[in-house]
Amino acid sequence: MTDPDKPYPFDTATYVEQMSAFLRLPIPPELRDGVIDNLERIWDIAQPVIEFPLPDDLEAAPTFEP
Amino acid sequence: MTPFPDAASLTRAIFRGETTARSVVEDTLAQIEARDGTLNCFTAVTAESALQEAARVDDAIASGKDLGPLAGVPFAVKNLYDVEGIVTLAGSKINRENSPATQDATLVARMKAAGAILVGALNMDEYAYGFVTINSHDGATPNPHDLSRMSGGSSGGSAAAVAAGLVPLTLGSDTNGSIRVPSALCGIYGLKPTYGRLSRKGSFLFVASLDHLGPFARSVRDLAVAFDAMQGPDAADPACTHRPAEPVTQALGEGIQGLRIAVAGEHFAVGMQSEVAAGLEKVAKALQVSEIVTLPEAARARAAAFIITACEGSQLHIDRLKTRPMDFDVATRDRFLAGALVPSGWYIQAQRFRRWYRDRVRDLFQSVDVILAPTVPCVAPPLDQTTLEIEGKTVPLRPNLGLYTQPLSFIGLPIVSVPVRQPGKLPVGIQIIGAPYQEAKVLRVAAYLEKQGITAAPIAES
Repeated sequence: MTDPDKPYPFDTATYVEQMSAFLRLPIPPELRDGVIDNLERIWDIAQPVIEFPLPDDLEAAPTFEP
Repeated sequence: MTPFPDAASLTRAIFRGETTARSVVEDTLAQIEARDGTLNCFTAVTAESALQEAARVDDAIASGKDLGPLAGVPFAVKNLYDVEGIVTLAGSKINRENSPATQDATLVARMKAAGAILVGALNMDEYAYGFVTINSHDGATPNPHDLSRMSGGSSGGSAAAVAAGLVPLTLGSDTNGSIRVPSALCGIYGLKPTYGRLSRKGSFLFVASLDHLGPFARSVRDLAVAFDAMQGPDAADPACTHRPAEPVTQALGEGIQGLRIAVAGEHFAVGMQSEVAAGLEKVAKALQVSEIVTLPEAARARAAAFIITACEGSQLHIDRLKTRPMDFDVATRDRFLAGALVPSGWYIQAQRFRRWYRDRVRDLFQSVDVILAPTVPCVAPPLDQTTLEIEGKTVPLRPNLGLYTQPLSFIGLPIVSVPVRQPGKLPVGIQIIGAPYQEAKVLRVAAYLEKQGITAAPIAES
């Protein structure tokens, strides 16, 4: 469940409910809270990546060459 | 207990007639039978085919045939590798319904071609999604150094089987740290080669963008011999390099002369327990290294690896998640379901960032050859531990076992995790990191540390 100390700019439970319906991916009721927790964790982890500026001409490596 | 220090000396003894492949395999099977009830490394033992193969090796030696550098060496593989005649579990309950594999994975076939004898398949976290090898279907694989502690994961069975001396060589996989983390916690050597270096054909993948395969051993020489036996292009794996094999075994004795070595700073310098810091210091001192280098945006790289893992891992299993989510391991199902709900834009940004970060790290390797970093922030935690203290903050244990490994596999760098010798203490692992395709350099450093007695992998006394 959403951490009351860490307000999110969205309602995770609603997102999970709607997105799982959109994807036809039913979430068993007993797993719902765990999925919400994990999605919020991913949201926290993802923000620094999403916010990182990259030039328009930088494309991902189609076959990754280290 | 095998009287041979490593696989290479075992092969030599067989060639000299001091023992036979049959005797070695019988002893190995007896050890597994006697001890695996407690160690819980194996999910399948291929006793019959191993004994047949041993007889073939002994006959070939008797008739003077050259059998390859691993003749008569018993080995085992993480149970996501295809083994002909066995169902490839990938640590899951769901895959138990699949038919047995009809042929060996490329790497299993190449190990056999080098003379090695497969004795079984090994426990892992379900679908490789974990760092602990606590599997709700097959049980936990405990740490052979202290059975109340974790072996690490997701290749925990592969690391523990070697640490306990059940087999001298095993194979595993590493997406975010799954070879290096259990190697460190179990006190053995583990090699995660360059991304694409070893074929993944016939292995049950987890995150194709990040998946690597590699060996575990108790000596650097064994890692090198196994790596050389498995190298080479394979058109059946689209990510496998077209470069010809670049053998490393002959280079092991070249030492560290001429290598520019530095310690990784910033992200890799904070958050480790004092035992780990002491291990890193010991290695740096032995190599006379004082320079510190920074891998730019390593924390962001770790986050991007997390996003790619969540998205690709979940998408691979999407049909199974839709139809039978409760058949997944309790430790993976919430994460897989959540990963399936991540927007595609995040995934694309993470993949683009990967290329940006790769370019920065490539630049860094213009001025350095080898970089040192801790493998895991802590020694093996108790099996029931769920949190870790990092910089005064309490964080979830499981994801943070990959704190130092994840930003490196993200761009496919070759790395060997070496076990620092600290008698009377739990093992600590240090990552020896190289530029892409420079496995020889990292293994040379590892061989030097081993020769100096700084690192060692004695059989665990549990």
